[in-house]
Order: sequence, then C-alpha cells, then structure tokens
Amino acid sequence: MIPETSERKPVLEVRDLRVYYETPKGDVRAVDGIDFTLYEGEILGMVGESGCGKSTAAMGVLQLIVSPGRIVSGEIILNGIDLLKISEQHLRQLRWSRLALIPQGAMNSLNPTMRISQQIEDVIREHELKEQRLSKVAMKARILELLQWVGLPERIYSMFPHELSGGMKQRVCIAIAIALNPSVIIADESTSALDVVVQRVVAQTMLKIKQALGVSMIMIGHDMGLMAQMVDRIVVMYAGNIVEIATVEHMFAHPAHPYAQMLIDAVPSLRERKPLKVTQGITHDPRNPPPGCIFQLRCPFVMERCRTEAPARQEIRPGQEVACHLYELQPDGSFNDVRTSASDS
Amino acid sequence: MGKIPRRYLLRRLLIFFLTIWASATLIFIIPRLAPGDPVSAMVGDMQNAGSDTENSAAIIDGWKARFGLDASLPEQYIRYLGNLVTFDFGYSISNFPTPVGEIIVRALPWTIGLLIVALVITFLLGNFLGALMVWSKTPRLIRLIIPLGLVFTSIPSILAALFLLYFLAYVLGWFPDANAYAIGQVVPGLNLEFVGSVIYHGTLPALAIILVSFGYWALGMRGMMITVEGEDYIQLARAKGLKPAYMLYRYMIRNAILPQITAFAITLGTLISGQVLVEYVFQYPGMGRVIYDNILARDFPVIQGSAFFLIVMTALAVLFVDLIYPYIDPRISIGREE
Amino acid sequence: MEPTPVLNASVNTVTPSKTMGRFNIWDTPWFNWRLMTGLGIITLVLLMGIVGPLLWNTDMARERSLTARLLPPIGFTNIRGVEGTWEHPLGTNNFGHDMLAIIIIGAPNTFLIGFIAAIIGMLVGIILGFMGGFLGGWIDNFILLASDVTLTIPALMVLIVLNSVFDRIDLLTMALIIAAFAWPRATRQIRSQVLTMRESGYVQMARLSGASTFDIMFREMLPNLMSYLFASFISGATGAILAAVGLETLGLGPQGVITLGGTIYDAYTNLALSGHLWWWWGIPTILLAVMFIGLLLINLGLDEIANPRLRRSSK
Repeated sequence: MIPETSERKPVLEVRDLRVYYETPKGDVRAVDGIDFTLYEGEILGMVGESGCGKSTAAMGVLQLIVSPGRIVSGEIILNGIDLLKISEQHLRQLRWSRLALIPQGAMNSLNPTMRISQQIEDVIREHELKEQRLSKVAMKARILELLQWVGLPERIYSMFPHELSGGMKQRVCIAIAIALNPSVIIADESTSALDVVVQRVVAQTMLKIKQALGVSMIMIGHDMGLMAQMVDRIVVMYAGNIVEIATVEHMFAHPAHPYAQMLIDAVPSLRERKPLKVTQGITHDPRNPPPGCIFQLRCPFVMERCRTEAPARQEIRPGQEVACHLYELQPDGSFNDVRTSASDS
Repeated sequence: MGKIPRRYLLRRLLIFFLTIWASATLIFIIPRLAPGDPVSAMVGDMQNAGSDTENSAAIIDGWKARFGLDASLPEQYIRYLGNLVTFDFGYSISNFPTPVGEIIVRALPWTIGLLIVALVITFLLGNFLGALMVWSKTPRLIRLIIPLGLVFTSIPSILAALFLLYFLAYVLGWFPDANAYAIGQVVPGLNLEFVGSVIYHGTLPALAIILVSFGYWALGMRGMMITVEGEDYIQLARAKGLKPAYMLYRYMIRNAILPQITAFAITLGTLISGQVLVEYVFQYPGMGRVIYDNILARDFPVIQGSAFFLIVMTALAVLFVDLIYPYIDPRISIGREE
Repeated sequence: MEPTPVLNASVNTVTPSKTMGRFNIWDTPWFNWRLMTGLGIITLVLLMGIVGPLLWNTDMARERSLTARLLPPIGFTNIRGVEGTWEHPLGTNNFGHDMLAIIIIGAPNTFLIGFIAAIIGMLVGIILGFMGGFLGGWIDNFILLASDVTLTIPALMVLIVLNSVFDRIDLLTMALIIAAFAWPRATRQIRSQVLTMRESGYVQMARLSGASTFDIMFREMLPNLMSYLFASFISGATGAILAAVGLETLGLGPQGVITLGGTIYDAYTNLALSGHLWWWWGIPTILLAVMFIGLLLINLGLDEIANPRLRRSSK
C-alpha cells in the first residue's frame, strides 16, 4: 500500500514533455505533452500499445534522444534539478548515479569486447568520488557482491557477453543499474525479450530492488498481467498522451478511460471465457493528431465534445486520474460517469 | 583474451599452404606453356633484347642439369617444389652465376621497410580520421581531408607516384627522384646521415602509398562507426554518463575496428602489388625495381623467383593477421566462425 | 555536412528543429549526387572514345612525324621554345604521335579490358555464388576455399610472370587473365547475398508453393539482386582496370594496342618525367585519374542506396 498523497516525496517530476521526430513530411509527435510524477519508493508502470510513445518518453527523461528526434519542450525535474536546464558536464555526473536504465533487449546492450567485470567497473570508476576511491580488491568485491545480488554465479566475472544467455545478460544489466544506488531506475521493457521462466526471475529481482534498496522505478511494458504483479501505479499512454494514471487496484477493478478498459479486457483470464477483442492500433496519422481528444477515432463512447475539446486530466477519486470527458465534476466535488447518469434519467 | 579455435586455425593454415602451392604450380606451368624448351627460349629472348650472354651454352647446360629439363615433367615438378621449399630459385640469367635468392635478399629489406612504414601510417591515420568523422567536435579542416582522401583512393598508386615524382622531385626539387639513399655520398650503417638519407629518400615512395590508401580506411572506419553508433550498447554507454573520450575509444572504436582488420588482411595483396609499382617509379631498390629491371632483361628466373617470393610474403602476412584476430575479437575465440 | 551527433545526445535541446526544410524530393536515393556525377563522368569518357574517331583523325596516333615531335599542348611552350598548335591540341610524343588521338583510342581500350574482365568475373560469380549459397555442403566449402586462395594471391605477381613469358598478348586474352583473378570477390559477395535471401520470406513462400530451384533462383532472387550486381560489377571493373593499368605501365600490356597505361610506360622509359615532357605521361594519367574517380563516385552512390544509414549521415 502506498502512503497518502500528501506524505509522499516526489523524486521525478515530468511536466509537459514533448518529443518530436522529424520526417520529410512533418514532425511525428511521439510524446505530445505528458505530465506525471514518480514518488519515492514506488514502482510506476507505463503501458500502452506499440508506438504509443512510452519508450520515447523514457528516453526523453534519460536524455538519450538522438536525431531525428528532439525534445521540444518540457521540464524533467530529478531530485529538484531540471535536467533540461543543466550543463552537459552536470548531466553526465547525474547520469547513472542518480538515474539509471535497465535497457530493452539486453541481447545487444553489453559491449561485446568487454568482460562483464569491466562493464560494471567502468561506471563505478567514472562516478566515484576521489575521496572514496575503491582499491582493486574492494572493487572486485563490490562487483562480485552485485553479481550475487542479482543471482548470478561468480564465474560470470571474467566472461564476455556472448558467453551468457539472454536472462543472464539481463541480470547483468540490472546489476550495473543498481551499482551506484540511483534514485530512479527506468526499466524499458526489460522482460519482453525473455521466456516466461526467466521473466519471473528477472521480475522478482526487480521487486527485490524496490524493497531492499528503496529505489524508485519506472517500468515500461505492455504486458498488463505482469505489470499487475509488480507496480504500484500504472500510467496508460495512447499516441503520445497520458490518458490515465491509477493505482493498480483501481486500474484493474474499475479502469476509467475507455482505452484503459480495452487494455484490461484484453488480458486473458484463467477464470472466465472472454471473446478475443481485436483492436485496431493507432489509427490517426502521428504527424497530424486530431483536435480534441486523442482517442476520439477509436473510442466507443465518443461524444461531440470530444472532437473539439481535449479533456484535462482530473482526479476522479483518490489514486485515479483520467483525461476523459465521460467524467464530469459535480458541484459536491465528486465525479459522475456521464454514461451512468444518462441511462439513469 | 581467448584462444584460437581449432577449425579456424586449420582452415587458415590450409588456405596458406594451398595458396603457396597453387602459385608455385602456376609459376611452374606458365613458362612451360610457351612453345619450345623454356631455357633456350629464355636465353634466346635475352639475346634478342641485347643482354650479354656470352656463356649461353654453359647457361643452358647448367640449367638443364640443375632442373633436369630432360627429365619428365612430373619429375621436374617434384624437384621444383623441393627446391622452392629450400628457397632455391635457381640462377639469374643476366647475372649468371648469381643465385636469384641473393638478388632477392639484397632487395627485400628495402621493400619490407617501406611496406611496414607505409602500412602502419596508413592504417593508423586512416582509421583515426574515420573515427573522428563521427565526433561532432571535429574541426572542419579535418572533415575536408577525408573526402579528399577518398578521391585519392580511386587513383592507383603508380599514378600518385608519378605525380609526386614529377612535382615534388623534378619541378620543385624538394625530394630525390631515385634510390633509397644518397649512394656514394653517405656511408651505410647506423649513423645519423645514413638514417636521415634513408628517410629523405623514402618519403616520396611512402607518401605515394599512404595518400592512395588512407582514404579507404577512413571511409570504412566511418561507416563502421556509424553502424556501431546505432547499437544498443552505445545507448547504454551514454546512459552511464561515461567520459566522451573513453566511450569513443572503448565502446566505439574498439568495436568498429574489428572488421577493418579483416578487410586489412584482404587488401594486403593489392597493397604489396601497388608498392611494387611505386618502387619501380621511384627506382627504389626493393623488389619493385628488381622485377622491373629483370622484365627488361627478360631474366625469367629472377622474375619468377621474385614474384613467388612476394606471393609467399603476402600469404604470410595474411596468415599472421588471421592468427592475431581471435585475440582481438573475443567473439571469434569461442567456437564461432565469422 | 552534419553527421549524427554521437556524444551530445539531446542535452538542452529544448529548441525548434534547425534542419527542417532540408528535405525535398531530390532526396530520393537514386538521385544522389555521387551516383549522378560518377555516371556523368564515365559517360563523357566513353562518348569521347565513341564519337572521337568520327571527329578527329585517329591515325595520327600511329603516324610518325619528324617535324611534329614533342609538341606541347595548346597554350604551352616546351623547353625548346616551341609552342603548341591547334593541329595537335594535346601535344605530341617522342615519335610525333598525336596525344589527343592516343587518348581517344586508348581510353576505350582501357575501359574495354576492365568491363570484359568484370563481366566475366561477375558471370562466374553469379554461377558459383548461387551454387555455393544455395547448395551448401562441400560444394560451398570448395568454392569458398578456392576464392580465399585466389584472393590471397596478389594478382599482379602472377600476371607479371604470365605477361613476361608471353609476348603477344591481345586485349581479349589480357581481359580473360585478369578475370581469372576477379571472380572471387564477386562470388563471395553474391554468395553472401544468396545466403541472406535464402532465408527470407518470399523465397520460403516460393519453396512452399513447390517452385523448382531453378525458378527460385532466376525468378525470385535474381531480380532482387540487380542493384547489388550492378555495384559488384562497378567495383569489379575498377579492380580490373587497375590491374590492367598496372601491367601496362610496366610494359606488360597488350601488344600493338594503344592503351593509356602503355602510353605512360613509353613516356616513363623515354625519360619524359625528367625531361619535362609532362603532357606525354600527364594527360593519360589525368584521364585515368578522372576515370577512376568517376567509378569511385558511382560506387559510393550505389553504396548509399544500399545502406540507408549512410544516407542520413552524409551530405
């Protein structure tokens, strides 16, 4: 259970982040103005279908966007520092020591010509302070400690990446990520390329990170079922926008946004037979999003209002925010689902 | 770093020996394809070309005895191969009774010296410039050198040699036009004047080779750097906040250079051929001049011996590079073929 | 020319794009300037060779003339103070042969050797490449081994031995001999392409629908290889011309045939360099350089088409 909103301390605040990709025919709006906050000690899940912009958002936060992409505007405030306003030098210092990444596709994320030990060592050496410089012996001990922590055998130490299996490589990436005890770790689809057995091991390791080290994490993925077991809150993205942010409990019990509902419906259940819902994918041209609500072309509950006015995100109950015109603020401060009130009268 | 896998080693050695055997056989067969008895033909040709062959009868007899030209072809072949293994290439006709081997040994150090110097400079310069191309802080001047270098690579080394010879040696007179050192003016040995003279004389030939080769490496390296840059591990390296110079070297160059080394082995043959021509233009007393002088003199044993020797040298160089490669690229060492 | 920034990823790039508007229709890969310029150059040279004999008296390449010896090109004066004339706009050599006529005849000859050798090499490459790539097994191993060995042997050495023994080599024979060393590269390239394509979707489909091996090879794979084959041909031709020029400059070129390299050989052995008869060796040399540059540009242009990533980072 997460503590009350007012007691939680934010470690990462993202405000109005926009990341566009240049193409000959106009900018693709991969991330089109998202706001969210990551609180200390929580795991925030980001879900959405392929192309919704979740990975791009993560890369934006990490400042790893390369041409033809660019960050157009926004604020990325990590531990009170806006990453978009600091010098390159300063950013480099903060990298990894405060903000780390567990990459997608660990198949290729390790330098093929470096031993595992070297890959862990170089980042520690880079960021360690002169006064706290580790001796060779201490360094080796630290690296072995990290390997053990993620459940890898000692012999991995001098091996090369191609000698390891996919799951082992992924765990090496995790070991590297926790090496400097960062405030935030972003895990980008870190279990997607693995088989279920290994997935479980990796997932458990991640949970261990949160519990034992108190690191705040953003987990990006598209497997809602897996998310449910690991994250505290879920951010649902569609075509570059955040449509809903809710705690896991709220999300699965009563998803508010129609798109979130679709995603939940698509999770296969062991208990009931459900017809397979085939969805269409992002239907509009990412260079030319429709005015008004981003989801209007696919929404089964679309109204006139949705075509002209983009809905603002509202907290319809504690722990659940949604950007949808279906939810109207009542005079007494609560929210009504327009569909239920319509059928009432 | 790793050990050489057996299959890889065996294959490389097989190629090496096959290459040598195939070239030896070719060199054996070719003169015998011409009508008539090779030796008499050779001597006859030489006389036509005006060479001094007083003892033609003695030469012919000496050769025939030595190589048993009266014996059957297969027998000659076996003897020939046997001789090659001991590096016995026979005698020079125009300089009888100087053995071909001696002529080669005299010229070889110059060729090897020039080759190593030119190679090392070309490889380092080319790859370094190619790597720099990918770094956004590279000054514009350096960026211009690379397209220029690329244009140069399309020009065969002899042409570059001719240009350099004409402009820098004849027109401007800045460099000498022939020889490895100032013959008669400087005493060979480990003294400063000699070494200085060697460097002075060697500059233009080396330059000719370097100018036409470095662009190829620069382009290749640039291409490889671009490919490597797109790899996932570079993204992670950036996220790690490593120092740019360190990342450039350890994550990019170190990985980009691997295919360059393989390519290097393949181009060795062309390089050595090109160098032979450069030596010829500059009258540099290496194998190039030996071959050219003896083409004029129609001295086949020397031509064939030199050609064969150069082939062996190339094959050795390729084998050497092939053998070091697993030590540099760990992915090769454990079981996998390229 | 702004290459992709490697080490400065997106820090403080909260700015509008600086490069918008750089894209336009001329950006399609086939229009790239390298390919166009290269083709232009080569076409010009070929045209010169084809149209030249119609416009210029090419017999002057062989006619000896005592009076018109060692004339410099138009606008220049030779060391004896004799000026160039329009009769021989590019000068004459030691024997009074007209240089313009020489290059009009010589250029196509040089090209011819290269193209013939490259075509033969490519044909062999297609046959062996397909055989090796498709059939695999020991045939493939054998072909690979043979190519590796041939590749290792420095062609020039064997060619020197060959040409020094045989005096009367004609153009065709020389092209054949050079082709004998040109086939491995084409074979290797085609073979690796075949291997990649063999596992691709449309080939699997063809197999599943019962097409014969022959059909698959020619109807499915070959058309897709076209641009690749063209690139292979160009680099093969470049290599062949290079080998040919090397031999010609050593005096081992085809006899009785005027070639650019052979002209250089004549000039060199007649001490044209020290004698400041620069046009004798210089003009064929420059023409050769231009030809090679043209071929290189074509090669680079084709490279850009084949490898899209290079496109983004180049001019």
